[in-house]
Amino acid sequence: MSSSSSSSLPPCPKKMITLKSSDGETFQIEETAALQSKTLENMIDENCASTPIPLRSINGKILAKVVEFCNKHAEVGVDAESLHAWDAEFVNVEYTTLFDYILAANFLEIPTLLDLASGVVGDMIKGKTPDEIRKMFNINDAFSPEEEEEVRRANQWAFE
Amino acid sequence: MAAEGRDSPDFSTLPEGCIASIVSLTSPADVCRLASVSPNFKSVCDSNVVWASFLPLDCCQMASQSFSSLKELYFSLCDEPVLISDGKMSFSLDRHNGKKCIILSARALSITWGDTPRYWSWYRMSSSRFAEVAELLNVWWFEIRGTISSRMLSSGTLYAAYLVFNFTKRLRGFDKKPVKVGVGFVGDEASKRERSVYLPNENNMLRWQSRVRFRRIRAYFEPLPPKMINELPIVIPVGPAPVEPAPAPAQHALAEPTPAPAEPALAKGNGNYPKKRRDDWLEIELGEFLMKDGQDGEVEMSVLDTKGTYWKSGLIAEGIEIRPKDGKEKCLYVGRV
Repeated sequence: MSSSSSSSLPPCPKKMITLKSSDGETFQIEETAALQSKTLENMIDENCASTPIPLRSINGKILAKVVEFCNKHAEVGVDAESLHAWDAEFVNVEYTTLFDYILAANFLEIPTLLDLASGVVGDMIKGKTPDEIRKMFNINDAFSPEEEEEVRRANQWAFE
Repeated sequence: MAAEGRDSPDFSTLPEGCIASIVSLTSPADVCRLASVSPNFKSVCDSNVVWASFLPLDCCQMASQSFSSLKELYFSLCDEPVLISDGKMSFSLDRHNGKKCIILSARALSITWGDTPRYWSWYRMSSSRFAEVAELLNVWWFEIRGTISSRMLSSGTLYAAYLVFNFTKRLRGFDKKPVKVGVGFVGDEASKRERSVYLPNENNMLRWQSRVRFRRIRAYFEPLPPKMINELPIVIPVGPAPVEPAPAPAQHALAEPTPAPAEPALAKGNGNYPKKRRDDWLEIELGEFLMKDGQDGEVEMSVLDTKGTYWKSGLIAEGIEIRPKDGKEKCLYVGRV
């Protein structure tokens, strides 16, 4: 983890910052855990983290999980295997929640969480046909049949 | 944000950056299929962000020309192998998964007697991507070895190595006995696997077999019904007539596991016979090996026929190819390599 700008030692070992969800819930998170988020790291660097940080696009339910994820990944002495198992359990959730994790991880710039949740969705779409994907994810902005055929022809090898 | 009770999520709520991070974790083949899902998907699936994740980190400097997009660079590296290491190796990507493929040219291999012009001859061939190929003129001791550093390959991948070769009209000796092929990590005997394969392709073998059958038939002084002909064992595969007296202690039987008895079709696709490649060369699999994450070391590949005291000739070695084993199905996972 890259260090924050201050080179002096923190005055106390547990510096906390406060996050506020879209529905008004507040969460305390240790600064060291929060640094996994590039977005929060920038705010800390710019001394904007002294008051509760409003996160208007993330609700309380999801923010609680994100804080839990950051805390777990900031824990010292967790071996890779048990962390892997913990991660697998963490993303063993409904599609909708997974998408919310992805949106939150994208907004907060937490690459580990983004890759974890994106990987699960990626596994779902591997090997599927465009039709199956459209059904699976309610995608309605489809091409016209002619346009689709053209895109398909350009990538014919991937359908063989 | 999380609307409870919805059956399936709504992809359209995801910004392009999120879709990009999802599709980057699939495979190039998936991404090319996904492009036809919707205009939004297509724009993501053509983006540099996505294709950067499929290109090995050290790839960009290999490109000899500039490309308008990373997708274009990717397919160029798949379709037009780049010569590296002073032209002694060729580098390309497996288009299904972006894993690295290497061909060691004959000059990058260690060929016993390769420096002796009486035994091996080196020349340029228009059908080869390399400056030189090696033609076997005549040896008893046939031994080709190659090594490759794991750093040249992609991690988390099941690879296989293949001898890329062809025959000349002077083909002789390889019909007598299978050759021993093997692959394994240097210094790790447990990882080494050896097996026997035939270098002449099925057509050659069939031709030889039919000659054998013909001789036998004449020996019986009467024609045999086709069924019996098919059941005849192969005893003396006859190659082109010997020019010089070749020592022939092993003339009577195939010492190694015999090929599938004389069924007309010599078990296709079992990997014991060579296959024709798209570039018109032949290839035979030497074995497979698993490149684990962070694995460091050298992989050694070998092709040997050193026990039979008879002349072997007429093989042209282009090199040894190392590529993901059946990239379409069996690669373990894809991503940055």
